Amino acid sequence: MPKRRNCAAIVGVYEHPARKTPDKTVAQLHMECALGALADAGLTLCDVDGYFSAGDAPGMGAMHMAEYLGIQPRFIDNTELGGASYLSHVAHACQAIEAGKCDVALITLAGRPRSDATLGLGPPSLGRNIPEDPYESPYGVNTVASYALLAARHMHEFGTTSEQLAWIKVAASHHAQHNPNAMLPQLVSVDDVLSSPMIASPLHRLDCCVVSDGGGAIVVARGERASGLAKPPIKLRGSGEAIKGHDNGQVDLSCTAAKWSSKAAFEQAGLQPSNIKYASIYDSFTITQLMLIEDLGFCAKGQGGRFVADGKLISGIGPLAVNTDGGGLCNNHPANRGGITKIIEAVRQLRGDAHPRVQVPDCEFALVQAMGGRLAGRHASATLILERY
Amino acid sequence: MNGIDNIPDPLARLFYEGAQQGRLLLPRCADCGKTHWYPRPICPHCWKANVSLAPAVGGGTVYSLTRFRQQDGSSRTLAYIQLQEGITLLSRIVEDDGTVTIGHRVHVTFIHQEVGREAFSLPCFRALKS
Repeated sequence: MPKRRNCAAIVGVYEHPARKTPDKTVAQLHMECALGALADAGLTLCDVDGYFSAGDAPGMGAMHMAEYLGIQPRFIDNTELGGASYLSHVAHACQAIEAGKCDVALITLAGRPRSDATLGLGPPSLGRNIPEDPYESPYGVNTVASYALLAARHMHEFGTTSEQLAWIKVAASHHAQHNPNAMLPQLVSVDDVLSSPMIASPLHRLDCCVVSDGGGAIVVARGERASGLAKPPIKLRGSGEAIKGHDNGQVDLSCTAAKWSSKAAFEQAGLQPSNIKYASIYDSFTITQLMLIEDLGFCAKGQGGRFVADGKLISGIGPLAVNTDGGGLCNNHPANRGGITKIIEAVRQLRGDAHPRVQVPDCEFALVQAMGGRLAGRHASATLILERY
Repeated sequence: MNGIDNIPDPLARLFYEGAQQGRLLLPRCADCGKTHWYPRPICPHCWKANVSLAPAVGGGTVYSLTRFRQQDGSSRTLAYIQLQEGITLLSRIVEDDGTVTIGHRVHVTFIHQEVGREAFSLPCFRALKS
């Protein structure tokens, strides 16, 4: 028997190159991503016996997608944690493989919010089946305003500035200029961010991620299968998942569930933040990434602003390169869920397949951090620590 | 049309009936004595079904706030308000002259809110003169 930890590995990844797909259904996008990731692995849909999907998949997720894909999975997981789902899927897939429940697990994400213009939560309602809705929905909180409440509190509590937040976008644009598929490949400056329209104070338009169509897929396979495949396998060294809400009215906007999910991941991996030279960190808004960086332990709580300032997140400049594909802020945010693209760029870094201008030299470990929901409200966090074989 | 009758959650109906009468009602557990938010019929602290709604004093301070322009061009100030009773809830600040900041003292007020063809009274907050 191989060691438990070595049992499963990521063997295939694929990021859909399209950023606007009005002529393709969501199911078709899932299929194209599945085929892309399997081709990357040197496998086919015939090999897949585990299937993972989340709320972006049409209908009831795996139940509808299995027929569309033409697969007969013996392990099925519809875990829905918003943008963090796909990180949990990787961890769950490794667990399922280790338990003997499947050998080749396929994870897909796809959506077309740009073509469908499906943003926000619709009109306020007191009657939806979400327990807090009667008490929050009538106030008309939209997604940007929710993150603005988080940013305003962080600025008040820790002295974080709009300039510091802007550096997160500037770093993303430095990386995106080398990505031919990036939706916003042009360089931007701190002044560009600060002079863009205020959407919800203190967040500007350029503090917000893009809205894009597209998707991605991941293939996780049993160790024995993984070693003979097309690309070098990437193993999961540690993982964690956590949920945070309003704690029955004790609202604390100073931290996120990432403090728990990352603790579990680092403990399982036997590593510390100082071991990580590349990290994919969710960036639905600049404040999202800043708070996750703190909760991951890359700097002390409240010091995120200093940690990200002056281009320190740009590959080759600071101690930690972040989102070398351009992230959600510049590259893409398919289905309004950035989780899967975060895994894909981390795998590229570990394989040495990132763009030469952003490749981290001798990248041994990579951290992947995503969240789902709204950080100022109820949210999920998932952390992966990946390692090249 | 009164929107309260169409609220499917019975506890939420009671909450909005209170708002209609100018009272901000908070759920309090008679077993463990703790207040929670948002209201649930089973106490999330001790899991006993002995929760009733009682009026809040109505005072609080701003925990966080954001201003944004809505699609119709009107401006809105959203805030998390820390109530004297020790819980924090999402709400709106009305009559905002642009000087309200985090830490500002506020007091509950009730506005007429329309959702579609339905109307109800919604608890909001206004700044107290410092």
